[in-house]
This record gives sequence, structure tokens and C-alpha cells, in this order.
Amino acid sequence: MLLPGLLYFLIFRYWPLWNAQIAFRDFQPTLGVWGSPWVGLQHFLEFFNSYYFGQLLTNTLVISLAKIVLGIPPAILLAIALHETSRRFLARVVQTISYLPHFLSWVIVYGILLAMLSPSEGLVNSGLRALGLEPVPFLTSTTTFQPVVVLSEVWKETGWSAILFLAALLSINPTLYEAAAIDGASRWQQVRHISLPGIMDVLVLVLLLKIGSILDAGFHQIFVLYSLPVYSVGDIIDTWVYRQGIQNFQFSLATAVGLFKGIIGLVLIVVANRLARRFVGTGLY
Amino acid sequence: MRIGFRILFSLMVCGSLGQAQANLTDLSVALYAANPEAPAPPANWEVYRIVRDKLGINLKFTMLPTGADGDNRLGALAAANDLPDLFEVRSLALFDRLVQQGQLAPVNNLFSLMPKRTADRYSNTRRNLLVTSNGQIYGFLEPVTLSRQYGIWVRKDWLDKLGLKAPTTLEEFFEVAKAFTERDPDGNGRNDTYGFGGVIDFDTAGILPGLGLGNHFQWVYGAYGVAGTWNYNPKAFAANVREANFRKATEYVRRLVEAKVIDPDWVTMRRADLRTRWQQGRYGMFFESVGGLQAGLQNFHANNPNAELLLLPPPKGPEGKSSMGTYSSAGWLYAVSKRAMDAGKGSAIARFLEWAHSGEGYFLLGWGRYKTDYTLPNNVPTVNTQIPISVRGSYTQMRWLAFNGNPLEMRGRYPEISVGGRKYVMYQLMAQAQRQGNWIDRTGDLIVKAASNQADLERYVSENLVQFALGQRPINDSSWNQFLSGLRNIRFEQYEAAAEKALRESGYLK
Repeated sequence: MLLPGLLYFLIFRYWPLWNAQIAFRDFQPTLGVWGSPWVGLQHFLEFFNSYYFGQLLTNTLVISLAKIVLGIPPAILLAIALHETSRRFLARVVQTISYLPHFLSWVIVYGILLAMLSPSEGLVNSGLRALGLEPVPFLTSTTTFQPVVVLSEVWKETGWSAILFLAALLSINPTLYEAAAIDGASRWQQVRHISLPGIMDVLVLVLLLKIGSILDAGFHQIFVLYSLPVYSVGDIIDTWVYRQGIQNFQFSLATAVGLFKGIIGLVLIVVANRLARRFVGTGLY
Repeated sequence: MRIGFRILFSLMVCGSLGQAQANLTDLSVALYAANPEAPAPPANWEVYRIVRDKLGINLKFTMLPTGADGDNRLGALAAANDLPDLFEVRSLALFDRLVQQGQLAPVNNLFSLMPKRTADRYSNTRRNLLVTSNGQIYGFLEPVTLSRQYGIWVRKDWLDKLGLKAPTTLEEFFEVAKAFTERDPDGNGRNDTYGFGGVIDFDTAGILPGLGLGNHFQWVYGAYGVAGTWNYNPKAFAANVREANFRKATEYVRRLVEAKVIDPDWVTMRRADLRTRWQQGRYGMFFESVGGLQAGLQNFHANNPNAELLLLPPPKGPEGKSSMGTYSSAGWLYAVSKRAMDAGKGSAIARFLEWAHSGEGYFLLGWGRYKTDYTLPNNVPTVNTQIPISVRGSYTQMRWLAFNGNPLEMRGRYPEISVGGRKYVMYQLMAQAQRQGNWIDRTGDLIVKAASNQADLERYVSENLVQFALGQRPINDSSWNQFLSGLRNIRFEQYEAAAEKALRESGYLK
């Protein structure tokens, strides 16, 4: 039973790592991975010395952290609300509607956002104009772009993320709630002392996984949403790699950055796991 | 006996068929979709059969998606050392890299195998120089068949309604744009029109993009004499961005933005959005190609029954200069992979290209199925517009291999059409756009190699200009000097020096 999974990881996850050595070579397809000349850390240094390196790293971390900090609480709240309601039909309808946006591509979400936020014909700006206010260029202003990115991600993914927490809540032994109710605990007290501790393992798991991919701030989303006026707050490592590495066909550079992200993610996940074990008593492994 | 004879005969037939199959040359060809709105040709496309029977080529055609996706697909194939035998390259950065990496074959030896095509298309030494490295020509660089087809279109019905004349200068353009924005030219009682519609677009079809705000605003920079990336002054070569007039042009764009006469979505809109909006009748003036206009006229007149369009000459700047933008006289580029040449497919490639150049091949690839996709009234090939492009487009996905851009061809591709009670002679409009645009030939730009930090260079210049234009940064001596001095941080001087060296060595800068 384990074999297909093992094979999958060996073929698609570990074998490609072997080819990651092109990050240290000047990759020439005609010479192959083995025959391409070594260049040491040249591609890593090129990335670190890039004019925008500091800004790319800052934007990536800010957007990524904001998505974690602002994304997880609504998912937990939604899961608890769905768990607490006694109207099962309503819960099912709400759950279905809330996780539908997860299946929309970012191109479609961009269309929706444009219809809502466009300065010329967006719904929100039409409302502002009707109130005698100036329209706000939400997608092209450096002050509003990051909030739009984070909030649109929260809107899109809250329902989907809530599924994990809901599953954790459903696995809590119902007798705990019954005993608490008999002891006179209010609904809020039951949530605080039974539900929240009950999902702590899953919360730690989710947090650790997200910390591991903290340098992935959402390429598809940013690529669709960003434009020249907001590069200073919207350009992230992955969009830079796309422009500099992929569009200029510098595959070694792109691989070097990918490797850099992987190593940082690995370090963060190991450290965070140790911290979680020490302070919460649970971890990923 | 009879059975034995039959078996023997069958074996002989199979043997001869096998022999014929063995003589066939497999040829993989990858081209960017000529008609992105149509699917690839069907498996039973008669071209496959004719090419097999007459040329002995087993043709395998792959369509590349247009734009960066296609470039990336080719890049991925190159990384896997699996390039097609014959393929189109639109990214010069990729072309340079493939030459460097030895993945392309020199094509010098193939010219004599396709005499007609070479005489008509590849005999221009100066153009061949653009794809020459160490004395070897690394691709078939076609003459341009379609360029300078863009322009600013103005709503004549709106001009008439507001009692205005078509603008000829930047100042007049501003006033007309303001009137179109503020004086309700469509008469619907709502404040829903804009003076000008354009987007940030760096597409290379028809215009050679320069660093900065893209093709749709080159006319502003042209009015100040600084269109395109480089100032080709042999005594003071530099990037145009360093010119004092470049700042003035940027200030003019900012003026348009501040007066709210440009659609405020211009920095986020795509070309498709722009097309939807001018077809809806949102703009008094808009930047569009003749081809784009032709495709949208039906919708436009359905939405705006009394509309009339005029093609504006580029507005003049304060010193009387004007230009719609820069262009290149080099057309599509086809390359041959080294693997194909090493496998002895060179002669098959030459055979196929020569066949596509004229006669049967030209018509089949360029125009599709006779009497279905096109007809030949008075020997002028004319597209059958009754068949939707989504259908007939499948049969002309390889048309760029055939088209040569002669007047007859242009007449067939851009015919006279009647829409909404108005007659549009498209080939005349095309000629008008090319003639009156004061287009600047900047073919030499193609010889300039991309810098190692090209993405950072492009971002720095374009981002700063957009911020100036949008008012996110003030434009004054201090901020502009800060912008210019920042060029040093992205090693812009090295880029300029490399460009000058390449242009001087190639003779484009004397």
C-alpha cells in the first residue's frame, strides 16, 4: 500500500532534486546537467545582489505573513460557527458557498475584483462617487494593493481552510460537550475550553506547513493582480524569478532561487517545529 | 497457387509501401498560432497528405501559444534539449541564448536549396546581419509583412456633435480629449466617456517597443522627438530616457491623467479590455491597429449605430515633431535546431519552405481551402468572411510561412467591408496608417542583446515613469534627477555601452 506513495515521492520529489545541481552550474542543455560547467554560487550571488533583492524579500515576507495571520482566524471562526449551529441544512449551504471561491482561478477573481474595484466602473468606486467621494485606485495604489491581495486571498481560501478545522472539531469526543453542559458551561465556555484546545494539534500543523512555505507568497495571484505602479509593494521573489529567470531563459538562476527558498523553508520548519514541541507540546514530527 | 501469388503480391506491395515510408523525412514544425481564436488544423488536413506525397515529408505541426507563454514553452523545450526541427522564435533573448548554447544550426547552406524563397526573402544582407553570429546565419529572418499598422482613431461623429476639429497638435489633442470627457459626446446624460483609451502594451507586432510606457504612448514621446529606446545620434548616442524632452513627454502624459481624460484603468487594463471598451463607445480617441479595428467594427457599430471613425496623423509637439512610434523592418524569424541539421533534415526543411513560398503551398498555407476559406475574384485571393475565423483559421495556422506582404495579398487580407451602413476600405486604411505615421525605423534595436539584469532594467524605467505619470511621484528637477541617477544602480551605463558597441559594429550607428 505504501509503495505507490513512496514511488511518487521518489520519482517526482526526490529525483528532481538531483537536477537541482544546475543551480551551481551554467546549465547548457546540449551538455546536459552533468556536462554543464560549474559556476559555484554565481547564481545565488546574482540573486542576492539584484537591485531589488531587499524589496522582493520584504514584500514576500509581508504578504505571506499577513496571509497567515489574517487568514487562519476567519477559517477557525467559520469552522466553529459551522460546528456550533444546530441547523445542519444551513451549515451545509454556508459551507458549500464559502468554499466555492477556492475553485475559482485567479484570472476569474481578477475579473471580479476589477468589476468591484476599478476606478472607472467598479461597484465600490461607483458607490464612493455617489457619496460625493473621490474614487480609490485600489489595484494601483501602493497603500491599498497589499490589503487587496491579502483580503482577496482570505475571501477565496477561508471556506476551504475551514474544512480542516471542522474535521478536527468533529473528532472531539461529544461527551466532553455534554459533560460541560451538565456542569453549566455556556456555549462560549465550551468553545474556549473544549473546541479551541481540541483543534490545537491541527492549528499547529497548519501553521508549521505555512511557515515552511513562507517564501511562497502566491505567484499566480500576484502575477494576475500586480501592475507597474505597485511593483514596489507587489513584486515578490516568484514574480521576479518569472521575469528574470524564466522569461530571460536563465534556468540556473531560477533553480538557484528555488533552492534558496527551499532551504529557508526547511530551516524555518525545523526551528518552528522545535518551538512548537517545546511550548505547545505538539509538532509536525 | 493463386493464394500463393496473392500473398507474394501483398508482400511486394507492403514492401514498396515500407520503402516509401522509409524515404519519408519526419519534420516537426512549431509556430506561434497565427489565429489564436481557432484550433490547430485537423489530423486529416490535406496539407499533411500533399506534403507527404509530393515532398516526402511527414509533417508534424505544433502550435505555440502567442505571447510569453509560447516563448516559455520554447524555452522549456530548449532546456530539455528537445527543440522542434523548424520553429519560430519571437523572443530575441531566447534566440541569442540558443545560439550561445549551440542549439541552433547555421542555415547558410540551405539558401541555395530554395532559390525562389531566398531571392525574395533572405537576400538582404543587412537584415541577415541581425541573426548572424561568427559569420554564420542562424535563422531565416523574413522581411516585415505587417508593420506600422497602428494609429489613433477618433470619433468623427463626436467631433461634429461638439463642433470640434480633429486635433493636429498635442495641445489640440488635450482640448479635444477634455471635451470628449466632460461634454457628454454620446448624449446619454451620464459622465461615462473618456477622451483617450490606451494601455501599457509591449507587443512587438507592428511596433518596436521602447523602454517606458509601451507602444500606446509612443506618439507622445514621438511628438517630443524621443520615441523608442535609443537616440541614434552618432555623436551623442544614449538612451532616450536621458533626454530633456523625455521628461516633457512624461509630463504631458501626466497632464492627461490629471485632467482625467484617460480611462483611469489604463495601467491595469489589457489590450482585450481596451478593445471591449472602444467597441462599447467609451472613448473619443483610442490607440488601435488596423487589424484590431477590422475585428471589432461589427460590435462597434452594433453599439454605436451612428459612429464614424477617422485615423489621426500623429499629433505634433511644441517643436513641430511627430511620430506614431518606432518599427522594425525585420519580420518573423524561423530557426532550425542543430539536432535536425545533424539528422540530415536540412534539405527537407528547404523543400518545405520553398513549397510554402509560392504556388500551391502558398495558397494552401496562406489562404486555406479554395472556394471554402477563400476565393479568387480577378485573381485576388479574398477571404470568405462568411466562414467564421474560428473555423477557417484552423487551415491557415501556418500562414506566416507563406505570406509575403505584397499589395495583392494585403488587399485580400484587408478587404473592403461594409458595417453599420459605412464602408471601410481596410487596405487603404492600412496604407494610410503606414504612410502618415512618420514611423521611425529602429531595426538596429534588434542587434542589441538583452542585459543580464534586463528584467530589473525594464522594471526600473517603466515603474518610475508610471509613477510619474500617475502622480504617485512629483515631477520636478530633484525627483527626475534622482530617477536618472538611479539608473547607475541598475548598471544602465553598461547596457548603453553594449548597445552602442553592437550598433556601431553592425553599421546601424555610423
